[in-house]
Amino acid sequence: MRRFLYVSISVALASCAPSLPVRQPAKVDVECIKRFKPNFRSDLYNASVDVVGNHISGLVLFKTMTDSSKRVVFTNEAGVKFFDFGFETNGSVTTHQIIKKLNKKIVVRTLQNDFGLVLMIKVGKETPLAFREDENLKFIYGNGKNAACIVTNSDCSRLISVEKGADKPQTIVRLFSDGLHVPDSIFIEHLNFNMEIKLKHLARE
Amino acid sequence: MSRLTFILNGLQTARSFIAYCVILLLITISTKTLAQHKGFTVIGNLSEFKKKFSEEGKKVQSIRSSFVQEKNLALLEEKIISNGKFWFQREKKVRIEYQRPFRYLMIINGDQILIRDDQKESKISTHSNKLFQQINRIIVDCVNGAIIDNKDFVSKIFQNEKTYLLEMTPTTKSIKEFFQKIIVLVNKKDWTVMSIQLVEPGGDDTFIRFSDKALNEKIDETLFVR
Repeated sequence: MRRFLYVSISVALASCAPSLPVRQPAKVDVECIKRFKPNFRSDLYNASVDVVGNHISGLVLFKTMTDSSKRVVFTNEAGVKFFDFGFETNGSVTTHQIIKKLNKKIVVRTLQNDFGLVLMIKVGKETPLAFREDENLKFIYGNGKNAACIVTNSDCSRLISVEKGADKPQTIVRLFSDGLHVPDSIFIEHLNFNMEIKLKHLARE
Repeated sequence: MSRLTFILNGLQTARSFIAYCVILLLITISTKTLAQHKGFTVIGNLSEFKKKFSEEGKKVQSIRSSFVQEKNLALLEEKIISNGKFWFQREKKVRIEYQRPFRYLMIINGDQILIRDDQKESKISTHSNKLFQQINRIIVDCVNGAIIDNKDFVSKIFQNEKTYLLEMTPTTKSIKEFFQKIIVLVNKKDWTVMSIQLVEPGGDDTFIRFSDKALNEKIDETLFVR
Protein backbone atom coordinates (compact mmCIF):
# COMPACT_ATOMS: atom_id res chain seq x y z
CA MET A 1 0.00 0.00 0.00
CA ARG A 2 2.80 2.37 1.00
CA ARG A 3 4.63 1.45 -2.18
CA PHE A 4 1.53 2.14 -4.25
CA LEU A 5 1.16 5.56 -2.58
CA TYR A 6 4.82 6.41 -3.26
CA VAL A 7 4.48 5.44 -6.93
CA SER A 8 1.23 7.42 -7.26
CA ILE A 9 2.74 10.58 -5.74
CA SER A 10 5.82 10.25 -7.91
CA VAL A 11 3.69 9.89 -11.02
CA ALA A 12 1.50 12.84 -9.96
CA LEU A 13 4.53 15.05 -9.26
CA ALA A 14 6.14 14.07 -12.54
CA SER A 15 2.98 14.93 -14.42
CA CYS A 16 2.70 18.31 -12.66
CA ALA A 17 6.34 19.29 -13.26
CA PRO A 18 6.88 21.44 -16.35
CA SER A 19 8.09 19.25 -19.16
CA LEU A 20 11.48 20.42 -20.38
CA PRO A 21 11.88 20.54 -24.13
CA VAL A 22 13.83 17.76 -25.78
CA ARG A 23 17.23 19.27 -26.47
CA GLN A 24 20.08 17.71 -28.41
CA PRO A 25 23.49 19.28 -29.08
CA ALA A 26 23.59 20.50 -32.68
CA LYS A 27 26.51 20.52 -35.05
CA VAL A 28 26.01 23.85 -36.70
CA ASP A 29 28.09 26.92 -37.52
CA VAL A 30 27.17 29.28 -34.68
CA GLU A 31 28.30 32.23 -36.80
CA CYS A 32 25.03 31.91 -38.74
CA ILE A 33 23.16 33.96 -36.11
CA LYS A 34 25.32 37.05 -36.66
CA ARG A 35 23.16 38.08 -39.61
CA PHE A 36 20.15 38.50 -37.30
CA LYS A 37 21.85 41.08 -35.09
CA PRO A 38 20.13 44.45 -35.73
CA ASN A 39 22.46 47.01 -37.24
CA PHE A 40 21.14 50.10 -35.43
CA ARG A 41 22.72 53.37 -36.60
CA SER A 42 20.42 56.07 -35.33
CA ASP A 43 16.95 54.58 -35.36
CA LEU A 44 13.82 55.95 -33.79
CA TYR A 45 10.86 53.85 -32.63
CA ASN A 46 7.41 54.65 -31.36
CA ALA A 47 7.11 52.86 -28.02
CA SER A 48 4.15 51.50 -26.15
CA VAL A 49 4.72 50.03 -22.70
CA ASP A 50 2.10 48.19 -20.66
CA VAL A 51 3.09 47.24 -17.13
CA VAL A 52 0.56 45.66 -14.78
CA GLY A 53 -2.35 47.71 -16.05
CA ASN A 54 -0.39 50.94 -16.58
CA HIS A 55 0.24 52.29 -20.04
CA ILE A 56 3.05 54.62 -21.13
CA SER A 57 3.93 55.66 -24.64
CA GLY A 58 6.96 57.47 -25.97
CA LEU A 59 9.93 57.25 -28.29
CA VAL A 60 12.98 55.00 -28.16
CA LEU A 61 16.19 55.96 -29.91
CA PHE A 62 18.81 53.30 -30.66
CA LYS A 63 22.15 54.81 -31.56
CA THR A 64 25.53 53.27 -32.35
CA MET A 65 28.32 55.56 -31.14
CA THR A 66 31.66 56.07 -32.87
CA ASP A 67 33.32 53.58 -30.50
CA SER A 68 30.67 50.97 -31.51
CA SER A 69 28.95 51.12 -28.13
CA LYS A 70 25.14 51.46 -28.24
CA ARG A 71 22.83 53.91 -26.55
CA VAL A 72 19.14 53.37 -25.87
CA VAL A 73 17.19 56.51 -24.92
CA PHE A 74 13.49 56.64 -23.98
CA THR A 75 11.67 59.98 -24.07
CA ASN A 76 8.01 60.85 -23.93
CA GLU A 77 6.42 62.48 -26.99
CA ALA A 78 6.99 65.97 -25.58
CA GLY A 79 10.72 65.25 -25.37
CA VAL A 80 11.17 64.57 -21.66
CA LYS A 81 13.84 61.91 -21.19
CA PHE A 82 12.94 58.94 -18.96
CA PHE A 83 16.11 56.88 -19.30
CA ASP A 84 19.37 56.65 -21.21
CA PHE A 85 21.34 53.38 -21.15
CA GLY A 86 24.76 52.74 -22.65
CA PHE A 87 25.70 49.22 -23.81
CA GLU A 88 29.49 49.33 -23.84
CA THR A 89 31.76 47.34 -26.12
CA ASN A 90 33.18 45.40 -23.13
CA GLY A 91 29.71 44.04 -22.35
CA SER A 92 28.96 46.34 -19.40
CA VAL A 93 25.82 48.46 -19.22
CA THR A 94 25.84 52.07 -18.00
CA THR A 95 22.84 54.01 -16.76
CA HIS A 96 23.56 57.50 -18.08
CA GLN A 97 20.26 58.79 -16.79
CA ILE A 98 16.99 57.52 -15.35
CA ILE A 99 14.15 59.38 -13.68
CA LYS A 100 13.65 58.72 -9.97
CA LYS A 101 10.29 57.06 -10.48
CA LEU A 102 11.92 54.33 -12.59
CA ASN A 103 15.19 54.18 -10.68
CA LYS A 104 14.52 50.92 -8.84
CA LYS A 105 17.06 48.12 -9.08
CA ILE A 106 14.57 45.60 -10.48
CA VAL A 107 13.16 48.07 -13.03
CA VAL A 108 16.62 49.10 -14.26
CA ARG A 109 17.76 45.46 -14.50
CA THR A 110 14.59 44.44 -16.36
CA LEU A 111 14.81 47.29 -18.87
CA GLN A 112 18.54 46.75 -19.45
CA ASN A 113 17.97 43.01 -19.95
CA ASP A 114 15.13 43.66 -22.38
CA PHE A 115 17.06 46.11 -24.53
CA GLY A 116 20.19 43.93 -24.26
CA LEU A 117 18.14 41.12 -25.85
CA VAL A 118 16.93 43.45 -28.61
CA LEU A 119 20.52 44.54 -29.32
CA MET A 120 21.70 40.90 -29.09
CA ILE A 121 24.73 42.21 -27.23
CA LYS A 122 26.33 38.80 -26.77
CA VAL A 123 26.18 37.86 -30.45
CA GLY A 124 29.61 38.20 -32.04
CA LYS A 125 31.29 38.65 -28.67
CA GLU A 126 30.83 35.27 -27.02
CA THR A 127 30.47 31.77 -28.44
CA PRO A 128 27.10 30.17 -27.75
CA LEU A 129 26.29 26.50 -27.35
CA ALA A 130 24.04 25.25 -30.13
CA PHE A 131 21.18 22.82 -29.58
CA ARG A 132 18.41 21.36 -31.64
CA GLU A 133 15.14 21.75 -29.76
CA ASP A 134 11.97 20.43 -31.31
CA GLU A 135 12.03 21.77 -34.87
CA ASN A 136 14.31 24.70 -34.09
CA LEU A 137 17.89 25.60 -33.31
CA LYS A 138 18.65 27.26 -30.00
CA PHE A 139 21.91 29.16 -29.44
CA ILE A 140 22.48 29.63 -25.72
CA TYR A 141 24.77 32.18 -24.04
CA GLY A 142 25.31 31.47 -20.34
CA ASN A 143 23.04 29.23 -18.34
CA GLY A 144 20.04 29.13 -16.08
CA LYS A 145 17.37 31.79 -15.94
CA ASN A 146 19.77 34.58 -16.97
CA ALA A 147 20.90 32.86 -20.16
CA ALA A 148 20.31 34.68 -23.45
CA CYS A 149 19.03 32.48 -26.26
CA ILE A 150 18.69 33.02 -29.97
CA VAL A 151 16.08 30.74 -31.48
CA THR A 152 16.10 30.14 -35.24
CA ASN A 153 14.42 27.72 -37.59
CA SER A 154 16.01 24.34 -38.33
CA ASP A 155 18.59 25.59 -40.86
CA CYS A 156 19.32 28.94 -39.16
CA SER A 157 17.87 30.87 -42.08
CA ARG A 158 15.13 32.65 -40.08
CA LEU A 159 15.13 34.25 -36.64
CA ILE A 160 12.23 33.13 -34.49
CA SER A 161 12.90 34.87 -31.17
CA VAL A 162 15.44 36.09 -28.67
CA GLU A 163 14.79 34.81 -25.16
CA LYS A 164 15.95 35.16 -21.58
CA GLY A 165 16.11 31.86 -19.69
CA ALA A 166 17.70 28.69 -20.98
CA ASP A 167 15.02 26.17 -20.02
CA LYS A 168 11.89 28.14 -19.31
CA PRO A 169 11.85 31.49 -21.12
CA GLN A 170 11.10 34.46 -18.87
CA THR A 171 11.23 37.06 -21.61
CA ILE A 172 10.59 36.61 -25.31
CA VAL A 173 11.64 39.22 -27.87
CA ARG A 174 10.34 39.02 -31.42
CA LEU A 175 11.83 41.16 -34.15
CA PHE A 176 10.01 41.67 -37.43
CA SER A 177 11.91 42.98 -40.39
CA ASP A 178 10.57 44.74 -43.43
CA GLY A 179 13.70 44.77 -45.54
CA LEU A 180 15.25 47.46 -43.38
CA HIS A 181 18.73 47.29 -41.79
CA VAL A 182 16.89 47.10 -38.48
CA PRO A 183 13.60 45.53 -37.33
CA ASP A 184 10.42 47.27 -38.39
CA SER A 185 8.59 46.10 -35.25
CA ILE A 186 9.84 44.73 -31.95
CA PHE A 187 7.74 42.96 -29.31
CA ILE A 188 9.09 42.29 -25.84
CA GLU A 189 6.92 40.04 -23.72
CA HIS A 190 7.52 39.03 -20.11
CA LEU A 191 6.11 35.66 -19.19
CA ASN A 192 6.69 35.83 -15.43
CA PHE A 193 4.83 39.11 -14.92
CA ASN A 194 2.48 41.30 -16.88
CA MET A 195 4.72 43.55 -18.99
CA GLU A 196 4.82 44.14 -22.71
CA ILE A 197 6.85 46.60 -24.79
CA LYS A 198 5.96 47.26 -28.42
CA LEU A 199 8.25 49.27 -30.68
CA LYS A 200 7.46 50.47 -34.20
CA HIS A 201 10.15 51.93 -36.44
CA LEU A 202 9.64 55.58 -37.42
CA ALA A 203 10.80 57.18 -40.65
CA ARG A 204 12.62 60.36 -39.63
CA GLU A 205 12.48 63.67 -41.43
CA MET B 1 58.01 115.65 -0.27
CA SER B 2 59.08 112.24 -1.25
CA ARG B 3 56.72 110.78 1.40
CA LEU B 4 53.84 112.86 -0.05
CA THR B 5 54.69 111.67 -3.56
CA PHE B 6 54.76 108.14 -2.26
CA ILE B 7 51.35 108.54 -0.61
CA LEU B 8 49.89 110.24 -3.71
CA ASN B 9 51.35 107.57 -5.91
CA GLY B 10 49.94 104.99 -3.54
CA LEU B 11 46.49 106.60 -3.65
CA GLN B 12 46.66 106.81 -7.41
CA THR B 13 47.63 103.16 -7.62
CA ALA B 14 44.82 102.24 -5.23
CA ARG B 15 42.36 104.36 -7.24
CA SER B 16 43.54 102.77 -10.48
CA PHE B 17 43.22 99.37 -8.90
CA ILE B 18 39.66 100.13 -7.72
CA ALA B 19 38.78 101.53 -11.16
CA TYR B 20 40.25 98.43 -12.75
CA CYS B 21 38.21 96.23 -10.42
CA VAL B 22 35.00 98.15 -11.16
CA ILE B 23 35.59 97.92 -14.93
CA LEU B 24 36.36 94.24 -14.62
CA LEU B 25 33.21 93.71 -12.55
CA LEU B 26 31.10 95.61 -15.08
CA ILE B 27 32.59 93.61 -17.94
CA THR B 28 31.93 90.40 -16.03
CA ILE B 29 28.33 91.38 -15.27
CA SER B 30 27.58 92.54 -18.81
CA THR B 31 29.25 89.46 -20.28
CA LYS B 32 27.18 87.30 -17.95
CA THR B 33 23.97 89.07 -18.95
CA LEU B 34 24.88 88.75 -22.60
CA ALA B 35 25.82 85.15 -22.20
CA GLN B 36 22.54 84.49 -20.40
CA HIS B 37 20.19 85.96 -23.01
CA LYS B 38 21.99 87.82 -25.74
CA GLY B 39 20.35 91.10 -26.72
CA PHE B 40 17.85 91.02 -23.84
CA THR B 41 17.62 93.26 -20.79
CA VAL B 42 15.96 92.32 -17.56
CA ILE B 43 12.54 93.73 -16.59
CA GLY B 44 12.58 94.73 -12.95
CA ASN B 45 8.88 95.20 -12.25
CA LEU B 46 7.59 91.66 -12.39
CA SER B 47 4.12 92.26 -10.96
CA GLU B 48 3.41 95.00 -13.50
CA PHE B 49 4.48 92.67 -16.32
CA LYS B 50 2.33 89.84 -14.96
CA LYS B 51 -0.68 92.17 -14.79
CA LYS B 52 -0.15 93.34 -18.36
CA PHE B 53 0.53 89.78 -19.56
CA SER B 54 -2.70 88.58 -17.99
CA GLU B 55 -4.72 91.53 -19.38
CA GLU B 56 -3.34 91.21 -22.90
CA GLY B 57 -3.54 87.44 -22.79
CA LYS B 58 -7.27 87.65 -22.15
CA LYS B 59 -7.72 89.44 -25.46
CA VAL B 60 -6.64 86.23 -27.16
CA GLN B 61 -9.70 84.00 -26.98
CA SER B 62 -8.39 81.31 -29.31
CA ILE B 63 -5.22 80.23 -31.10
CA ARG B 64 -4.75 77.83 -33.98
CA SER B 65 -1.18 77.12 -34.88
CA SER B 66 1.37 74.69 -36.28
CA PHE B 67 4.43 73.68 -34.32
CA VAL B 68 7.81 72.06 -34.80
CA GLN B 69 9.43 70.33 -31.86
CA GLU B 70 13.17 69.71 -31.80
CA LYS B 71 14.58 67.44 -29.13
CA ASN B 72 18.34 67.89 -28.79
CA LEU B 73 20.26 65.06 -27.20
CA ALA B 74 23.50 66.93 -26.64
CA LEU B 75 25.90 64.11 -25.80
CA LEU B 76 24.53 61.87 -28.51
CA GLU B 77 24.64 64.70 -31.06
CA GLU B 78 21.12 63.76 -32.05
CA LYS B 79 17.99 65.69 -32.91
CA ILE B 80 14.51 64.23 -32.88
CA ILE B 81 12.22 66.45 -34.89
CA SER B 82 8.44 66.18 -34.80
CA ASN B 83 5.61 68.47 -35.83
CA GLY B 84 1.91 68.93 -35.50
CA LYS B 85 -1.01 71.25 -34.80
CA PHE B 86 -2.10 73.17 -31.77
CA TRP B 87 -5.42 74.68 -30.73
CA PHE B 88 -6.24 76.77 -27.68
CA GLN B 89 -9.61 78.07 -26.56
CA ARG B 90 -9.87 80.27 -23.47
CA GLU B 91 -10.26 79.39 -20.61
CA LYS B 92 -8.99 75.88 -20.34
CA LYS B 93 -9.24 74.06 -23.65
CA VAL B 94 -6.13 72.86 -25.42
CA ARG B 95 -5.51 70.33 -28.16
CA ILE B 96 -1.97 69.32 -29.09
CA GLU B 97 -1.76 66.91 -31.98
CA TYR B 98 1.61 65.48 -33.02
CA GLN B 99 1.28 64.38 -36.62
CA ARG B 100 4.77 63.42 -37.79
CA PRO B 101 6.76 61.19 -37.53
CA PHE B 102 4.37 59.75 -34.92
CA ARG B 103 0.77 60.39 -33.93
CA TYR B 104 -0.01 61.51 -30.41
CA LEU B 105 -2.92 63.55 -29.18
CA MET B 106 -3.43 65.39 -25.93
CA ILE B 107 -6.65 67.26 -25.17
CA ILE B 108 -7.15 69.34 -22.05
CA ASN B 109 -10.72 70.33 -21.42
CA GLY B 110 -11.12 71.90 -18.01
CA ASP B 111 -10.02 69.35 -15.46
CA GLN B 112 -10.03 66.43 -17.87
CA ILE B 113 -7.09 65.25 -19.96
CA LEU B 114 -7.46 62.85 -22.86
CA ILE B 115 -4.38 61.19 -24.29
CA ARG B 116 -4.42 59.07 -27.40
CA ASP B 117 -1.28 57.39 -28.65
CA ASP B 118 -0.73 54.73 -31.27
CA GLN B 119 -2.19 52.03 -29.06
CA LYS B 120 -4.50 53.45 -26.44
CA GLU B 121 -6.78 56.25 -25.37
CA SER B 122 -6.77 57.29 -21.72
CA LYS B 123 -8.78 59.84 -19.80
CA ILE B 124 -7.14 61.35 -16.77
CA SER B 125 -8.35 63.87 -14.26
CA THR B 126 -5.89 66.70 -13.56
CA HIS B 127 -6.72 66.17 -9.89
CA SER B 128 -5.10 62.74 -10.01
CA ASN B 129 -1.80 64.67 -10.34
CA LYS B 130 0.14 61.98 -12.09
CA LEU B 131 3.74 62.94 -12.70
CA PHE B 132 3.82 62.38 -16.46
CA GLN B 133 0.63 64.32 -16.97
CA GLN B 134 2.03 67.06 -14.75
CA ILE B 135 4.96 67.40 -17.14
CA ASN B 136 2.71 67.55 -20.19
CA ARG B 137 0.57 70.10 -18.39
CA ILE B 138 3.59 72.38 -17.87
CA ILE B 139 4.09 72.55 -21.62
CA VAL B 140 0.45 73.47 -22.16
CA ASP B 141 0.61 76.09 -19.40
CA CYS B 142 3.62 77.62 -21.15
CA VAL B 143 1.55 78.04 -24.30
CA ASN B 144 -1.47 79.63 -22.69
CA GLY B 145 0.62 81.80 -20.37
CA ALA B 146 -0.60 80.18 -17.14
CA ILE B 147 2.95 79.12 -16.30
CA ILE B 148 3.83 82.64 -15.14
CA ASP B 149 1.48 82.25 -12.17
CA ASN B 150 2.63 78.72 -11.41
CA LYS B 151 3.94 78.62 -7.84
CA ASP B 152 6.33 75.80 -8.73
CA PHE B 153 8.49 78.25 -10.69
CA VAL B 154 10.45 81.43 -10.03
CA SER B 155 10.28 83.71 -13.03
CA LYS B 156 12.60 86.34 -14.48
CA ILE B 157 11.45 88.46 -17.39
CA PHE B 158 13.71 89.93 -20.07
CA GLN B 159 12.90 91.91 -23.17
CA ASN B 160 14.29 93.13 -26.46
CA GLU B 161 12.65 95.28 -29.09
CA LYS B 162 10.13 92.69 -30.28
CA THR B 163 10.10 89.96 -27.70
CA TYR B 164 9.60 89.17 -24.04
CA LEU B 165 11.63 86.32 -22.64
CA LEU B 166 10.23 84.47 -19.63
CA GLU B 167 12.82 82.43 -17.78
CA MET B 168 11.10 79.99 -15.45
CA THR B 169 13.21 78.16 -12.89
CA PRO B 170 11.51 75.31 -11.00
CA THR B 171 11.50 75.39 -7.22
CA THR B 172 9.97 72.00 -6.47
CA LYS B 173 12.13 68.90 -6.32
CA SER B 174 9.88 66.81 -8.58
CA ILE B 175 10.00 69.35 -11.43
CA LYS B 176 13.70 70.16 -10.94
CA GLU B 177 14.43 66.54 -11.78
CA PHE B 178 13.12 67.13 -15.30
CA PHE B 179 13.80 70.78 -16.03
CA GLN B 180 16.66 73.08 -15.11
CA LYS B 181 14.71 75.96 -16.59
CA ILE B 182 12.02 76.75 -19.13
CA ILE B 183 12.39 79.66 -21.52
CA VAL B 184 9.27 81.06 -23.16
CA LEU B 185 9.46 83.71 -25.90
CA VAL B 186 6.40 85.95 -26.17
CA ASN B 187 5.66 88.18 -29.14
CA LYS B 188 5.25 91.80 -27.96
CA LYS B 189 2.86 92.52 -30.82
CA ASP B 190 0.13 90.04 -29.97
CA TRP B 191 1.32 88.65 -26.62
CA THR B 192 1.29 85.09 -27.91
CA VAL B 193 3.95 82.47 -27.31
CA MET B 194 6.49 82.14 -30.10
CA SER B 195 8.58 79.31 -28.68
CA ILE B 196 9.22 77.20 -25.60
CA GLN B 197 12.60 75.80 -24.66
CA LEU B 198 12.67 73.12 -21.97
CA VAL B 199 16.22 72.80 -20.66
CA GLU B 200 17.03 69.56 -18.83
CA PRO B 201 19.58 69.28 -16.00
CA GLY B 202 21.93 67.15 -18.15
CA GLY B 203 22.16 69.75 -20.93
CA ASP B 204 19.61 68.28 -23.35
CA ASP B 205 16.74 70.47 -24.37
CA THR B 206 13.44 70.48 -26.24
CA PHE B 207 12.63 73.46 -28.41
CA ILE B 208 9.03 73.96 -29.57
CA ARG B 209 8.46 76.68 -32.17
CA PHE B 210 4.98 77.86 -33.16
CA SER B 211 4.13 79.14 -36.64
CA ASP B 212 1.14 79.98 -38.86
CA LYS B 213 -0.77 81.35 -35.90
CA ALA B 214 -4.42 82.37 -36.33
CA LEU B 215 -5.87 84.29 -33.40
CA ASN B 216 -9.48 84.59 -32.25
CA GLU B 217 -10.89 82.36 -34.96
CA LYS B 218 -13.90 80.21 -34.17
CA ILE B 219 -12.69 76.74 -33.25
CA ASP B 220 -14.87 73.68 -33.62
CA GLU B 221 -15.77 72.56 -30.07
CA THR B 222 -15.54 68.89 -31.01
CA LEU B 223 -11.76 69.32 -31.33
CA PHE B 224 -11.64 69.48 -27.53
CA VAL B 225 -13.67 66.31 -27.11
CA ARG B 226 -11.77 63.74 -29.17
